[in-house]
Amino acid sequence: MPEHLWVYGVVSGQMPAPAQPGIDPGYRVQLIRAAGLAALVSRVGYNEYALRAALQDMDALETVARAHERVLDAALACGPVVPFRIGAVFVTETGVRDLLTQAQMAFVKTLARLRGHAEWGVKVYALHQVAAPAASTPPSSGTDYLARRSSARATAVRERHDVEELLLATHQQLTDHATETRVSPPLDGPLTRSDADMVLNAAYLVADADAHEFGAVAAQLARDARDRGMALELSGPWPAYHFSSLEP
Amino acid sequence: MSEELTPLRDVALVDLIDRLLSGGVVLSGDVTLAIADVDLVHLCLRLLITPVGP
Repeated sequence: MPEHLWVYGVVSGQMPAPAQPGIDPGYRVQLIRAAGLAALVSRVGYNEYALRAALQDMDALETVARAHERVLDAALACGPVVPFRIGAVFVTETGVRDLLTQAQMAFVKTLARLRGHAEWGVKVYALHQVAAPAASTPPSSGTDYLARRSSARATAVRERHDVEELLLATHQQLTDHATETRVSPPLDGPLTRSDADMVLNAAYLVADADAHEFGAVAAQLARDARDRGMALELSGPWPAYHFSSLEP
Repeated sequence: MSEELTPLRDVALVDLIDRLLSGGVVLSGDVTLAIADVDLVHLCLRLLITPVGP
C-alpha cells in the first residue's frame, strides 16, 4: 500500500523533533526541514480511497481530528505553529520541501506574527425559550386581543435588541484584549447545541501575556449572557487556525 | 459551582471540526496533493456544521 505524508502544520526550523504518534498510530510524527522551516508530518498507510472514506465516517473523523489537533497542541507548547487544514497529504518528501521553499516568506512572516500568541474561540448561544403558557383567559374583546398582540411584539423587539446589544458589547470587550479578531457566520447542524441557536462565532488571537485577562473578561461576559438567557462558551488555547492564511 | 469560565478544551467537537474545516492553511491544487478531490470531502463534512442562512 502506498504511504503518503500527512502534513499537520509548519514550525520554525529550530523546533526539536516531536515524539508522538501521528493520525495513523503505526507512524510517529517527524519533521521535514527546508528553508529554515520544518513541516510536521507523519506517514499514513491509507490509500486515497480509504482516507476519503475515513474522513466521512463521523467516529473516524473525530479520531483523525483529535490526533491532528494533539500534534499541533504539542507543537504550540514549544513555539509558534502555522496549522494546516485537515487533508493536506503529500506523496513525497520532496513535495513537502518544495512547499516550504516556495512559500518560505509567507510562512516566516506568519510564524513571526503568531509568536507568543494563541487563538481563543468564543461562541454565544441564545437558549430556546420554554414556550410561555397560553394566556389563562381568552381575550375579553378585540381591543384586548390587539393589546396583547402588540405587547408580545414589543417584547420580541426588545429581546432582539438585547441580544444585539450584548453581542456588540461582548465582541468589543474581547477585541480590546486581542491582537486580531475573526468573526465567522454562526453554525448550525448536528454538532451544535440542540437547545440553543448560535448567535456569535468568533475567534480571537490573544497574546499569551494577556490570556489570563482575556479569560477573566470572558467569564464576566458569560455571566452577563446567562442573565439574559444566553450562553457564552470559551475554548482555547488553540493553534491559530483562523489567523494562518498564507494569502498576502 | 466555580465562577471561573472553564474553557471547553476536550469536549467541544464542534469547535474542533469548525477550525479544521474553516481555518488553517489550505493548499491550492497545483501542489502535489495525493487527494485531488479533498474539497469534495470537505464539502461532505460541511453538512455537519453549516453556516446559518440569512
